[in-house]
Amino acid sequence: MDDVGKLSIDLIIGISIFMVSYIFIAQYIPSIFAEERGEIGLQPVAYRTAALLAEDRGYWTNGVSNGTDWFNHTDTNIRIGLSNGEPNVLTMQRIEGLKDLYENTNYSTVQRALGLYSSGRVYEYNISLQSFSSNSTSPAYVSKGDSTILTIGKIIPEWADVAKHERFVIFSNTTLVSNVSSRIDTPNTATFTFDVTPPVGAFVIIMTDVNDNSTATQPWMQVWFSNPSDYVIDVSGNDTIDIFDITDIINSEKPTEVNIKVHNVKGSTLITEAGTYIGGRIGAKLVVTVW
Amino acid sequence: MLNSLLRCGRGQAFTLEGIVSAVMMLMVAYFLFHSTIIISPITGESSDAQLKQLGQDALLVLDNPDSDADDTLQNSLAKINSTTYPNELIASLEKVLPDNVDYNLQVIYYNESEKEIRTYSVTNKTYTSDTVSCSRYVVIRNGDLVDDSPFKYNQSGGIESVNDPEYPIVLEVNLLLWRV
Repeated sequence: MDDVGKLSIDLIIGISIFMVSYIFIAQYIPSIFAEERGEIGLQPVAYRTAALLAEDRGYWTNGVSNGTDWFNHTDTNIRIGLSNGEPNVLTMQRIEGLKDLYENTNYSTVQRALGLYSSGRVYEYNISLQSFSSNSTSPAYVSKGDSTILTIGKIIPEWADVAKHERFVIFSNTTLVSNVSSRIDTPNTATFTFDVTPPVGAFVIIMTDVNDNSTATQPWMQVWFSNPSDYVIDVSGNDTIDIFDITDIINSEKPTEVNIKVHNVKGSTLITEAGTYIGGRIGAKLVVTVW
Repeated sequence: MLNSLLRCGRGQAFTLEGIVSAVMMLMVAYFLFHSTIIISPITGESSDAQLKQLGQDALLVLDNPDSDADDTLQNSLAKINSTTYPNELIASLEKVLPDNVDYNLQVIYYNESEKEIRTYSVTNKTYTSDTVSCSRYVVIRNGDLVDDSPFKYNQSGGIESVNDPEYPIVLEVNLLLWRV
């Protein structure tokens, strides 16, 4: 036997390596784009759900009657919406209606009412109201009293394709989500003390007008935490009639009490954990995650 | 046959090259697709859509003509002049927007003395090429603007009597957003 034909071994090895590489790449590359397609497909669902909740009042029908107060007709066909009719303005009545529906029925009832359940595909969900500074690694849920205002759905999986959509929203009725005190309304001179537990969502002093003192008409206000001579706010005259947002100072200095000494003013304080005082209202972030 | 192959050195170099090149191809393909996030144009647009939505929402929550709060669009823009900067509005915008988002705020208005549309830049930061724009129209009473406001209508006379404090001034608030 001579050496003729030896080169066929090179060819066989070369073809084998080429085929293994080809099969690997041919199988691997489409799976990459399939995953990306899946994620892109989820994003519109998250967008749609967030848009319905933030911009729509909702709807119910039993085939005979219909309306938008879906939270009073949860035994009919409903579409959930949290808005009061104005985009991004949510009502506590609808938020509590959604919470009650989730707690009193089950996960899939809300899933169907949000349009996340069909014969073709079922989407899992997690919906919550969070503070503006909240993020995925350290979520900060807004609260009222001892409970969060809205946190429903399953725990978001760490190792799956998820799509998240966020909307900035405001509460239609500030007093329903805040502790509003009118104690600083006085024609005389008085000091009022408020206990605080930082961090607070918002601590705002709202001075609306001068009171009825006819002898010492000039209004003034002094605000301090622990040291009565170290004023956070010290104003008099027309400067007193204004809105004073001291949230950031409280959250940085972390006092246990806020003292407000006023003379001849009409006003109130607004303290809340339900969100941030922004544009004269309480705002938060509606976060919708689907997978 | 194996003995003859090993005895004769011809052709082995080509085999080694083939193996080395195949391993390199596999390694490159593996590391390329495992260590890199593929950003397709569609993925980028999806991200931009979310950013634009956040910008629109930020302008919406700050648009509150019924409030006396200093950070509303109406109250902040009404007090702008050559020396007064809308600090409260900027602070609230930064409170709302995520940390990884930067912005420029502009006000587009009609300058009545020059008879042209002008842009007043509240902030003037350097932006990236991937920027989205959101805008919202606000209406402010002419009488609510400070006297030396760049948006004020100072002419008098005419059918509409533009010097009237009730004359509505329409401003387009433009928010440019980009990720940093």
